[in-house]
Amino acid sequence: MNQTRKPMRADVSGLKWAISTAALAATIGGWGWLTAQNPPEVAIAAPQIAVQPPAVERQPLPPWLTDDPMLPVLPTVVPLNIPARDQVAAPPPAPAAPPRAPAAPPPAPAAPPRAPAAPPPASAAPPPASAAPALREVTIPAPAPAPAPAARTRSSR
Amino acid sequence: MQQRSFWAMGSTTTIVIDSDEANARSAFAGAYQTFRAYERILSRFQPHSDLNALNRCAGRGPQRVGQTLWRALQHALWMAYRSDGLVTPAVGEALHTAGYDRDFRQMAGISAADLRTPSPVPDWRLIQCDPRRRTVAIPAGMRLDLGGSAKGWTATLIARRLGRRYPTLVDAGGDIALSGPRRDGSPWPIEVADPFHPDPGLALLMLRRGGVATSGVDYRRWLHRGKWQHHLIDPRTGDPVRTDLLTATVIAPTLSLAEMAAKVILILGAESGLHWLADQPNMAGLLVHRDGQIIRTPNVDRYCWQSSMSANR
Repeated sequence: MNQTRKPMRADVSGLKWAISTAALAATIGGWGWLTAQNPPEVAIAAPQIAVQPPAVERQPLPPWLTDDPMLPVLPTVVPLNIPARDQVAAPPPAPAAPPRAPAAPPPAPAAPPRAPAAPPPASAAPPPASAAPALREVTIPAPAPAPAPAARTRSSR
Repeated sequence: MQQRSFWAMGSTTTIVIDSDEANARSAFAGAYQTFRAYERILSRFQPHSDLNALNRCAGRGPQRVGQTLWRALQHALWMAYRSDGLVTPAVGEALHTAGYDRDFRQMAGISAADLRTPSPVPDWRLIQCDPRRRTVAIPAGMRLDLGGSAKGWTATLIARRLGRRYPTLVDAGGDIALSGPRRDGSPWPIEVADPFHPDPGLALLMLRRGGVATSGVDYRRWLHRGKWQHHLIDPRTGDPVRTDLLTATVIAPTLSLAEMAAKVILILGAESGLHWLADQPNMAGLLVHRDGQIIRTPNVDRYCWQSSMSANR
């Protein structure tokens, strides 16, 4: 029986080693070369940071801040149900006193008669209606109506 | 908006569907049939109901029950657990002793049942359930009543089922279950009745989902041997509860929880009930004292309609 022998393959492990070593050397060399191109700078001197106070310029205060505020004079609001004085007609003359009953005691003479509905003094009179502030009508929305219940909970029926 | 009312489970039940579709009629019919079917299974007043069949087998060991009774009983037992046994399905015998032995419409406010001394309600934990075989064993002397619990459970079920197609509100005799907001996203307006004045309500609640229930001693009561009784049993005494409250309304994530909480508050009374309610998450209450005083939990205003609130908000 003839035995065929498998041909021996060339031993290339040395070549592989050589290629790997060369590639590794090229990588490391390239890295070293690139690093040498841009060496980091060493900071020798500490950075000097000077903090300077801000320049404050004194300015005079504005007059509206220093002067006493003017309190606004609010006009007296005329109640709507009381007419202005110039709109009030002169009071009618007092009606004649009815004849008193003879049994009624006479009034004391020292008591002055009470003035019938004398108008208030001028100082207490409200200002004319033209001084009243303008009124703005504000509409308040009506609350939403409650929805009709779909069911009612109560003790078992 | 369409609605239909009918009598079921001892109460007037109203179903409201926020839809104009003509197909909603079939939904009404389905809901009505469900209420009727569940009443036949879960009622204590129907002699041939599954519940009464189980009650007749008290003390005879495990009994196999149907799917509906099993689920309703599990729900009632869960509520008993949540309420520390204050709302328990084991009150059937106590209700019978108090004279509530037939449908309330047939009582005419008077019960002629024999007057017996009430005794504490048996512990609900004595009820043995086997989920693998779906059997229930109740001890001798115990009688189950699923009354309000079954009604609330059915209403929640119907609201959930119809809510897949339409926004739905189910009002089971004043206990209300909601499937979700209305078509336009707005909440459902629900009025809380005033037990002293029938016409004006105490508050208008705006709810999108969950449930609201009112429990009270102002209506379902009767004269029994010269003594006023009502349907709410205190399991600690076996007697109708003596409480300082007239009604308790609770808003909760589900109608079943709301109904359970309202009963617990009524049993505990105003002070203890408010403390209990404060420990419950996502619940709000509105209580009416016997002297007319109205007590609100701080968070109940979140659900109340206010004049600044738009109905579509």
